[in-house]
Amino acid sequence: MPQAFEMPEHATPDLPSFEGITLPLLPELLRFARSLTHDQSNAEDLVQDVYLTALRSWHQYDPMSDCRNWLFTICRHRFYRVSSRAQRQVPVEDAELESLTAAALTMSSTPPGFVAVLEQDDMREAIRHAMETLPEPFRDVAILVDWHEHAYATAAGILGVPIGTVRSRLFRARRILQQRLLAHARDAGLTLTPPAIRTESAS
Amino acid sequence: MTMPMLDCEAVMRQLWDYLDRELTADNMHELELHLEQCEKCRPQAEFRRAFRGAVHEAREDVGDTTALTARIRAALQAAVRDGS
Repeated sequence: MPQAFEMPEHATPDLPSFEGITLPLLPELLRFARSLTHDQSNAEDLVQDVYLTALRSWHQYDPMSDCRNWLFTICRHRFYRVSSRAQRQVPVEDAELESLTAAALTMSSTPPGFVAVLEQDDMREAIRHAMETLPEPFRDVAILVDWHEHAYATAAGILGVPIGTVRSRLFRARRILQQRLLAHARDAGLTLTPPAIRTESAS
Repeated sequence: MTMPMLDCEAVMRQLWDYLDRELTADNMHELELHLEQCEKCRPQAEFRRAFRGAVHEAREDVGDTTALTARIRAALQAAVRDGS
């Protein structure tokens, strides 16, 4: 449930103005919350908590900035704080970016037919599941960029990490997704010819 | 003046940035030129573009948010009222 709310004494928010700017963003915020919580009810509670937090902090909001990014930042912060989920350290950070990009140079082939498989309607659930079950740091970046179409710089701002970290996590997230979806397609008996994504060494 | 062609390694290194439109206009153009002409890189670009599109299309429809909007409006009004 959303936490108890206390309005700071100095804040006298203009509610119609606040609602006019923030409420049109509710569907997108709910989608983001849903991808974090994996649960509709918890996502709705989280979104309500975000709105109450945003109202309390409205005096800190810069009207020249993008309100969408501000709300996404609050949403992610509240999710990890309320759920007491410490962000795990991940093995991929800036220092690994070079080796990861080097791995990309192997020009790995993809199986003929994989694109057609990906575009099948019944792959949507598999793609969604693969995305939502990515390790958290990778998932957060992939959701912000691939589902919400945030620029790398915006995602970096929301996550509080350098752009290089966004880039490397996104690279890794997409590779994991490709591998999982390829495995899913094979398990489901979907037509794919020869084995495919070559194992890419990050060394 | 003609720009030097990028090599395949440079294209692969920047391919996700290109597909995510994170490059400068000049860099975007350079990659476009390379991909138009390179039969090695183009299939990889086409695959990644399709993959990216399929992932984007798989995002969930949040449905009707009318009830949640009303609930949040009520909570906001209560917060302002109780906090004043």
